Amino acid sequence: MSGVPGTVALETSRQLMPEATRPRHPVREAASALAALAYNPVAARELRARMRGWHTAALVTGYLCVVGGVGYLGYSGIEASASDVVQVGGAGSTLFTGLAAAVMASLALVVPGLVAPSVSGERERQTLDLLLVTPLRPGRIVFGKLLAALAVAVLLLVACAPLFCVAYLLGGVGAREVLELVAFSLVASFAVGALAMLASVSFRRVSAATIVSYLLMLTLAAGPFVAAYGWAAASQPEQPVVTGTGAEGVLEAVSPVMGATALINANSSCGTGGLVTPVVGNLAPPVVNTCGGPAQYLTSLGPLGTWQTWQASIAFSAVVGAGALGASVFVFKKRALT
Amino acid sequence: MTLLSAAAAPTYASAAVKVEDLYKHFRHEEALSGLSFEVAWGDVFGLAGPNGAGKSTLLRVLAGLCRPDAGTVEVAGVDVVREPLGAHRLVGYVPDHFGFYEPMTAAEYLAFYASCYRLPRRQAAQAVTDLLALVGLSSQRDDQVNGLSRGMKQRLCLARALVHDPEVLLLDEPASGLDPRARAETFEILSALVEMGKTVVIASHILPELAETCSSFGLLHEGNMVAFGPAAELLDGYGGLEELFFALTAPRTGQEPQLLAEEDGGQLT
Repeated sequence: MSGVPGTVALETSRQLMPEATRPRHPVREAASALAALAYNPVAARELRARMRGWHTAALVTGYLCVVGGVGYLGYSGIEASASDVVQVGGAGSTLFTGLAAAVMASLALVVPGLVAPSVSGERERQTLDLLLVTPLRPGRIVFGKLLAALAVAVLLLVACAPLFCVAYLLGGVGAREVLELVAFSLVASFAVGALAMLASVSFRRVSAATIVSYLLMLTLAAGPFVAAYGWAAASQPEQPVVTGTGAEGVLEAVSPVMGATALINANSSCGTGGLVTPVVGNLAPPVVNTCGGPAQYLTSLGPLGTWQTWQASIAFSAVVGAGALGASVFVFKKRALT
Repeated sequence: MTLLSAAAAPTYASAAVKVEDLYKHFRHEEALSGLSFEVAWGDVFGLAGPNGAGKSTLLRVLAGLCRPDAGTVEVAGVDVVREPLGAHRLVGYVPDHFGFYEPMTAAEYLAFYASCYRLPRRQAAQAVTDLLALVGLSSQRDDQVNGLSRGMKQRLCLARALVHDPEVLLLDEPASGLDPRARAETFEILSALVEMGKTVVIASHILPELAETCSSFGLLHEGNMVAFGPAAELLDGYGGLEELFFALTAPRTGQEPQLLAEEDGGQLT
C-alpha cells in the first residue's frame, strides 16, 4: 500500500460509483436515457480525433482546391469563348456540371480512404481488444466508425456549398438540382463507405483494407454497367447492345455512374437565365432558375417507369449500403471472437 | 436506475472464476485441453507457465474475447459465452499488448472508456480523477498518452481496466518490459486492489513477484493445468515458484508428474 498515491481516493470513488439516488423527473430521465442510447462514444472519439489533427483541415483545403479548380476551369472556358450575353448565361450551368462531376468523383476517391483504416487501424494499433471488452455492441462500434467517417464526407459537401451558390447565382441551375445532387452524393457515399467498412472489418492490415475498399468502390461504380453489357452480350451475341429494357436496362439504370451522369446533365437545357452578366462589378439581382432538366425516366422498364435514372440509382446505392453494413457487422462479430 | 447498473450483477454464490472442461484449439494446435478450476472471491490467482502454454488464450477466453470450443466459463457468476456483454461489465482486462489512440490525453483516454461503459458524466469525471491518482499519474493528466513512458502506459492501461469498477481483474503480463521500480509499483497497485476486495487473475513470467502477491497458483503447460492450488500447499517442499516451474514444465516425455494440491495435498502423483 505504501507508496501508492491515491488509494484512499479510489476507495472514496468506490463509494461514489453507485449511482446517485437523487430522485429525477421522469421526462428528464427518459430524455437522458434516449440521449444515452443515441450517443455513440466510438463515433464521438473518432470525430474528435479526426477534427483535432491537421489531416481533416488539409483534406478540406485540398478538396476545395480540386472542386473549385475544376469549376473555375469550366467557367473561365465559357467566359472566354462566349460571344454574347445569352451564351454567358450558360456559365452557371457549366459551372454546376463541373462542380457536380468534381464533387462526386472526389467523394468516391476520398470515402474509401476515410473508412478503410477505421477498424483495420484499430487492429493494427492493438486497440480493438480494449474496445471489445467494453459492453458496446459490435453493431454500435461498426456504425459509430462509419458515422464518423461519413461525417467528414458531409463536411466536405458542406464546404462546397459556397461554390454551388456561385453556380446558383449565375443561373442555369435550380435549388432542386443542387439538393438532388447532395442527396445522391450522401447515399452514394454511404454505399461506398459501407463497402469500405466491409473491407475494414475483414482485413488485419490497413493497406489491404484500403486496396480492397477502392476495388469495391470501382465494382459498385462500374459493376452494374459491366453486368448490363455482359447480359446483353449473352442474350444477343450477334449484336451486344444494351437496349435499356429488361434486366440489362435495370442494371444500366441503377449504376451510380449512370445516376451521377443523369444528375450532372439535369441542367443542360437551362442555358439561359439567372445572373446573365457575369462581369464582376455589374451584378444584377439573381434570377432564380427553376427550369429543372430533361429528367430521364425509365419508361421502358415497366414497374420502374415513373422513376428517374438517378432515383433508381440512389435506391440501388441505399440497398447496397445497407447490405454491406449488415455484412460488416456480421463479419466483425465473427472475427471479434477468435 | 442507470444503464450502467441495469445489466449484470455479480453472483457471489458462485466462484469468482469458474472454468469447466475448457477446450480451445487453433488450426492444428490445441491451446487449452480440458481445463477445470475455480478461483474464489477476493483471491489473487497467479497463472504461470512457459511461453505458448495457453495463459493468454485462457485470459482471452475469460475476458470474452475468444470463444471456446467446448466447456463452460463463468466469471463473477456470469456465463462469458452466453452473456458476453453482461460479463464485460464485471470484468477488467489488461492484455499483454495494447496500443493507444492519438491525439489523446491520459484523462481523455480514461474518459473515453468510461463513456463506453456508459458511466454518467459526473461519475466518470470522478472516476478518472481517482484512478489517475491511484496509478500515480495525476500530474500526467493532460499529457498526450503517446508521450508517456512504458511504465506509465502500463499503469494507465490498468486504470482503464478499473474505470467501471469491475469485480474481477484479468491481467496478462502486467509487468512485462518494465524496469524494477515500475514493476514494483505495478505490484503495489495490485496489492492495493486486493485490499479493496478485487479478485485478480495475473498471468506473469515474473515468478518472484507473482509468488509474493498471489494467494493461489495455477501452472499451465501445453494447455493443461499441471499444478493448481493455494500457494502454501503448492509450494510446500519446493524452494519457490521458480523451482516448481522448472520441475513441472520440462519438455513433454509422456511421463509427467502431476501436482494437484487440492486433491492430493500438494503431492506429486
